[in-house]
Amino acid sequence: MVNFLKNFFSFGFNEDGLSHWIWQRISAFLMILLFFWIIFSFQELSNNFIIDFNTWIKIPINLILFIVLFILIMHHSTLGVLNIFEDYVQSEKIKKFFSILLKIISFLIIFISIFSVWHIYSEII
Amino acid sequence: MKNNNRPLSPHLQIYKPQITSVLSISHRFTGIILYLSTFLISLWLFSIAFNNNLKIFLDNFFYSNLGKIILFFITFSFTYHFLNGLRHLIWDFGYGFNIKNVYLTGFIIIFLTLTINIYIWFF
Repeated sequence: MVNFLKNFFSFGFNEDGLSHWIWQRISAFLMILLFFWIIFSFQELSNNFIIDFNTWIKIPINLILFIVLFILIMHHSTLGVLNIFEDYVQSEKIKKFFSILLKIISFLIIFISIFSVWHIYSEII
Repeated sequence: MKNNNRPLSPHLQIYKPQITSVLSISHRFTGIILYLSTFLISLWLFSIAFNNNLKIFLDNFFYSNLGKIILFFITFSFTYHFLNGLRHLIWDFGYGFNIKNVYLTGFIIIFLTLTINIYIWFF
């Protein structure tokens, strides 16, 4: 049980296949809910999308859910691409190298996006 | 001893193209497209926040034909990956495994993906 929890809270990033599988499903399920939310709330924005987006993101709950959604997207897709490496890259060394590279890129994308969204949020209207 | 001769998944050319294998491979392929499209979303957010010139450039780019084709691929991949993901989740609960249902849900997904994308882009 302790071992299971330890694997579980690696968020799918250690070598354990079960936790990878579970986290891929958890993030998928949460993303379904959040994508329905974001698609329906974007429907209410007018044609001038950027200006509306700027005011939309200034509502705290929108900001928080948007950031959560973005982290989930990157988590889910990073796990997905890691799985492709697992299936098709034969050498352990090359696999390791690309896994680390992928994690760095994903982290940078998350960082840039959240930083930008936070900047829009904290701008004076 | 370290085993550097790990077993791999069979390479793609080995599969006979049929609806089951094609949909499965497409799921991965669209997943990769979606991963790459997060770069664009990130760049777009960055441009709104920090760089107005970049924002104007991106706006113009996505109004051009090449930009529209890229956006089309993204919406297509998104709808397909979303619907097929739902199918995968249903499978994970143990439903719909017999071959008849696999074919049926496969065709439903192709139909829905095409319908939704035609709706998005032409209406």
